[in-house]
Amino acid sequence: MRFSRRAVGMTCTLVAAAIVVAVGIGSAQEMAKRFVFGSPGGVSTEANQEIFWKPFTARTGIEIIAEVPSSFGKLRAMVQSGKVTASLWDLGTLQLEQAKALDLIEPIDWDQISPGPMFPEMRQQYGFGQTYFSTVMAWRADVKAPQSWQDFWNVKDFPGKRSLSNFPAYTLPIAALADGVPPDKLYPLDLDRAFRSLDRIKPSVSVWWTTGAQPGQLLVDNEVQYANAWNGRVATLWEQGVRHNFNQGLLDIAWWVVPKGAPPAEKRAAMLFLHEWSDPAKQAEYAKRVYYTGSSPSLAALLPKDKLHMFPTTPENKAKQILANGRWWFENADLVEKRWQAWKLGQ
Amino acid sequence: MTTGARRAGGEVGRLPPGSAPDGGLARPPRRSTGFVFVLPLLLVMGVCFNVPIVLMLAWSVKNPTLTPRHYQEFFATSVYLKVFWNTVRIALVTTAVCVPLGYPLAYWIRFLPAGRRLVALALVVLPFWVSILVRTYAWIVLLGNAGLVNRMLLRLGVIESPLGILYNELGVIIGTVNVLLPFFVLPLLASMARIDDRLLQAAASLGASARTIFWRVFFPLTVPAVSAGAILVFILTLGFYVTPAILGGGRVTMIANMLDLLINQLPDWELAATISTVLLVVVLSCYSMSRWLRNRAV
Repeated sequence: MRFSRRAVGMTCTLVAAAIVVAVGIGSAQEMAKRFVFGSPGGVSTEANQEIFWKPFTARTGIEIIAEVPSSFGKLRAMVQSGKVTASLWDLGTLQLEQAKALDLIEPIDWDQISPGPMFPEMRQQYGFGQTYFSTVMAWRADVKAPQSWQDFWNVKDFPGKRSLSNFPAYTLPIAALADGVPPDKLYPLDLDRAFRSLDRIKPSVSVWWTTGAQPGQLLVDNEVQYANAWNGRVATLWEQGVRHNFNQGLLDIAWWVVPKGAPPAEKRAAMLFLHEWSDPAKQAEYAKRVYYTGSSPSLAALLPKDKLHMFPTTPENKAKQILANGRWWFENADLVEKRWQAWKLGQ
Repeated sequence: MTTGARRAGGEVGRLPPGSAPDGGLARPPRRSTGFVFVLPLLLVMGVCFNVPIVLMLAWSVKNPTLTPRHYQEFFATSVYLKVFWNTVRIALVTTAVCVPLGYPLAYWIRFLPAGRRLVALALVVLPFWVSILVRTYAWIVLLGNAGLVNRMLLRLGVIESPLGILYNELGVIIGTVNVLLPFFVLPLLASMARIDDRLLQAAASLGASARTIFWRVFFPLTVPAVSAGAILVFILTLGFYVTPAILGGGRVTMIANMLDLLINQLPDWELAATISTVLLVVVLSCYSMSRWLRNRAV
């Protein structure tokens, strides 16, 4: 087989031209037809898929692929190995700070999202606030209802076993509040005082919970009578005799971030999707199912009137709570965790 | 025990000749060609498993240059040492419970007639087919304050308030023993099955009592399997994660839970690598110690 010089030259030119065109398209504002979404799984991811993903895919043709679960370790391994497949990832407030410090995430493209009105604390350079969640006091309907963390700590007038979170970020601030620290003076957290306060409740704590479903189940099983819990997890147990309120609740935000080095075309598709998340009507649909409310200040008007007290960010409930201080936790996480483990082993 | 020994004696004649008297003792001649067949597995294990593990463990000494810092931190922080010791203690207790529970069970199955032996074996293996998560949660239903055990004891009037069986070290140990008992029983049973019945017959014909036959003939032959099984249970317990996480109620922290914390929550991967390395060294020394003991015994 022989090729003329000319034919070879032509082919080379054509190939080169094709490459130039392909690269040109790639670098333009091209939108991928799919992106990968690191999600925690469970009820919230299901609701997200049904209320946000499906209509979005139907309208734009962009397919969203779930990567479950979205642990911090997985994100770090993915970014540090240089093989970034996901364009969105689910993170907590403390983890958002950690991810920033470890250079694992890149800025959100707010210009492209051009969201509707959002609570200002939900808009960060590196994080899109998806929903609020709150660590609240929960109890069985057949015991005396506590009105404050001081009541929760008072085992004489509110007898019964307790369950508290094994994550210090959800328990130590409560311990400080129970000892009488005023909510506006909570941070910087007085660790000595918080641990002294924990010493008092320790004999009554039978379980330190590690997963969100645990406290609700423990209450339903009558294994404990009082627990701190994430509001969405106990709101769905009302029928089964679990009660909660938002007094001195620890209000926190769940974030979506972009892993550093996400494929640009897929990131653009992901940003397009995030715009959906600023729509209060959709946020209301989502909140009705999981009781975690989104970023829109006008959301409260769209929530069911009879259940308004169950949502963390109605104006009345939001005023009762204390917003988490991710920065403080980031700066002190290491120290607190060691002390927390040491304290627990000392029991 | 007497009936067991007698039944064994009566059964010997009917045993198939397949159970060779020299079972396991004869060694096949070494051939270099065998190596070729192992090569694919070796490559997969080496490249996909061992190399990444070594790279991860290397995190313990570099960050980013060579440093002993993480080991210093590990040995200087009492929390880590406490968790480590806690884990070793739970592993020791689990082993100490598994051996006296598992040995009679294996012994009993060993002398069952073939058909019933199969049924008994199936019952031992059955838990393997049930997810460890399901089994662990099942213990909550059984052992909780409102669980079957406490409710029954309360109704019978044995106790006045529910016993704290769950969400403490006792709960964790019940869980680990449940999961690991088959790991002890199965190899032990295999080794017991290899013991030649004619040895026991010979002892009986020389006038030894059932007790003497057991302690002087049968038991010594099973000692290597018992120690191997015990070491296996001990090592496996060291790496338990799900059981302490669920049945410990957050009051029992074992190494794996600590590692999860260091990897997913804090995140301090260097320290996690350090603890993993120390754990690996402990496990390997346990293993080589058992090898050494066994070689010395033979």
